[in-house]
Amino acid sequence: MSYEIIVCVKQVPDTENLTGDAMKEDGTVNRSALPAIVNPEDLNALELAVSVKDAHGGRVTVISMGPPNAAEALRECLYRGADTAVLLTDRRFAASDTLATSYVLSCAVRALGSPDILLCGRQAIDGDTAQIGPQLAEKLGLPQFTYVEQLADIGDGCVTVRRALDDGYEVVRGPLPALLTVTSEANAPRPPSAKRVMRYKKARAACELVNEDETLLGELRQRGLLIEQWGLEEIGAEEAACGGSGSPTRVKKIDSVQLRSEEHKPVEPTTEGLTELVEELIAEHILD
Amino acid sequence: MNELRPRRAAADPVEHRRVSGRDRIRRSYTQYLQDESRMAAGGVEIIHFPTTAQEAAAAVRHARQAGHGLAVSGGRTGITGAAVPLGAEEVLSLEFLTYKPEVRHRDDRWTVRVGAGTTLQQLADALDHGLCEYPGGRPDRPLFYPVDATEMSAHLGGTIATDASGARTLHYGPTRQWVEWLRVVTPDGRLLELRRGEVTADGGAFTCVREDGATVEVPVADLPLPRTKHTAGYYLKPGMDAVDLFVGSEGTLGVIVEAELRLAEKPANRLYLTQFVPDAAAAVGLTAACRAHPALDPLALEYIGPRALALLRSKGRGTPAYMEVARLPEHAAAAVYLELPFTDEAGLDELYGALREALEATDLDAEQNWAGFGEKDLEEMKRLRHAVPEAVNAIIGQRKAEVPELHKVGTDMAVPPERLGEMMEVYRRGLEERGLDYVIFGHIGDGHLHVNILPRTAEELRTAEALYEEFARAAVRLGGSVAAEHGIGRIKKPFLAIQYAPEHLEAMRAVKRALDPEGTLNPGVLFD
Repeated sequence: MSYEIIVCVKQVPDTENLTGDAMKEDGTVNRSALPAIVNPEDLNALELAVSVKDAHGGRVTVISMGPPNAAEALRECLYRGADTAVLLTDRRFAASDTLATSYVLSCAVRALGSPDILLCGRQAIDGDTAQIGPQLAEKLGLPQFTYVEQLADIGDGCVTVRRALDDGYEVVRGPLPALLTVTSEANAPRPPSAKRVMRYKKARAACELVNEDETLLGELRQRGLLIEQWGLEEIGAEEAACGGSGSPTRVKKIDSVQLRSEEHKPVEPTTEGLTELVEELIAEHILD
Repeated sequence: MNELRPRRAAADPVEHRRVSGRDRIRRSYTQYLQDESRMAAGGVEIIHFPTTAQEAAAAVRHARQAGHGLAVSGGRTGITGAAVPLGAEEVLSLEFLTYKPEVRHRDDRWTVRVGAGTTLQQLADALDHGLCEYPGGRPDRPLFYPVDATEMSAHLGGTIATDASGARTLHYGPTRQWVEWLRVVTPDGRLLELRRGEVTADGGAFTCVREDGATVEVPVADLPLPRTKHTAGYYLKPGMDAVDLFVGSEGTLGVIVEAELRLAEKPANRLYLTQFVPDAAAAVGLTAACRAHPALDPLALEYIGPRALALLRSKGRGTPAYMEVARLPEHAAAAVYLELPFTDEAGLDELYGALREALEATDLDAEQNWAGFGEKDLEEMKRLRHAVPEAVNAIIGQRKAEVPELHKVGTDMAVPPERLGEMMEVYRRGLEERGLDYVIFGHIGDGHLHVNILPRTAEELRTAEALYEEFARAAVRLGGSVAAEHGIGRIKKPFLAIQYAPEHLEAMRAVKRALDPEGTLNPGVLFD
């Protein structure tokens, strides 16, 4: 049987490639100095979706809540095998914490119609909360499989996965539809193909067009190049549950922790000097 | 003008830094006794570390007066043993001949002047980050030095002395084409400056003015040079430029201490593409289709053969390109890597149209590839290609534990691109008939593939070495070169006799005799 699959993705600053201007003086992230990428584990979720589609048929839809330029992350997903993309962008979504975000995503998933499989990356590299997937499953009343490191089997309305545990793994089987959060161990996301890049580089969301001309939108939709753009009304969300007003989380304080060296010790460039250094590092538990 | 007129260097006698004593050198300076070949020398008496061209000249003069052979030492990234001081009593290390690269605009060209000890990586970084000297002002566009020899730790002096090349040689040509000016220490310890276009072998010879004022004729024969990448022996052609005599001469005619290299404008954008193909024939077909298409001008066209890809797949976690290998599509049997420049969005559409035509002409699917536009994509694709020789070395390392004498037998032949299909058939038949373990990869666009044979036993090693000679003969028959980029050095000397007739070898020896009658520089390199 074929599967309707939805993958939730997030555009994040590339915190793995930090430069000197990565932090502002107040200790917050300087987003403009960091390249924006698709959250790495969301790409693992997408790869899992595309490989299920390759094996069994179906359709992969990616959704992302974010500012208009998150459309770039959705294009990246189209390059990598997604069939359609939906951008959830609305000023009233801004300043959402994980509770409000999962609410908005749950409304969007309902608006798309129930999928067979709903996928998220395990966690995003900027917030590292790993809360969106579980909250989303809860709101949609779906069984959830977190920390999926392998999709062992899918068929007969059930899914069997291997979940990573602190000290090993467990194999779990459960009914579909279900939500899975996927770890980086699950697969190696395939790079885009030239054909898909050339096709989807012209894909646009309405907010990216200079004037939202209906004919142009229609044309893009007809050619399969429209990134659907939904706001509060399109997904039938309640304003009070979105954005800042729907977010009980308050950031009290941000500390910018900078490691400073307090002392230094010259090491002689000899075998003895280096041995002594290595022994000291082992004693300090810096090296194993 | 055909006159080579070296000048006496200022610094004399020897006052530069050096270490002496065989025991001390054997104990603490072993790196100067070996390179990336498997060769190593037992010891030398002196290692010179000049910091200026004058000091380098004094070192050469010192060796010559002592009647010593002098081995020239750069980054020692070569794999033919050219930097290993076998048969030499002294080593001249050029590692301190470095200064800030100097970028200039001259006759409508951008050039950079560098010391011999500057590495390819250092030059690339200095150009990328604007860290050169710019006496005439900064360039108004991004420039780069396009020779991309694999080992970025190679010294520029060494890359010139060996006429190094890399993946982008397909488009930009080897080092030779980028050398505008050289400062060379001659075998008698004087300094010779040569600007391209100023000294040519008119009348079939150069005339070299000796220190005592007498002249000696340097005969320039007409060698049958193959139309491929070629680094086997001297470049000799009537009317040739004197710069070309020293480029690729492997340090046997003079020591390159300083050079001025041309720079190229960086392409505005590049599409990096790894196309998966079902077999070797499809790779040859795609290569031919790309070369023939008027709108395709790949900067690089590389190949990973079926057995090479299978070898990568057999490697487990923890190997350098594990992620790249893990994401290989199941059906991918072999791969062709293309680097394609384009100007802008419209240029990309045009480029892709041309690429699709080339793919369709060879029945290949435009969806069966990896495409990228950024440095990260380039790095990932490079990692996959470079993982092949690394995997080969790892396996050989394991086999050596059982049979210590084993080593890989890596070939370096190029043939004219239109003969590549025939050459690959020669490879396949020879290797399959003998049941050898091997992989093939490399610069398919230049008709230059590396066959790496991985012998399992001492007997297979001997079979592989004999087969290498057979391959070399076949390459020459097809109009190719026995040594396309690795050079001859000390290891590949027998191949010179496969490439050239005895009279041609004698013509090379005559050049060496005329310029270095005492045989001071790099004894044992190129000739016995």
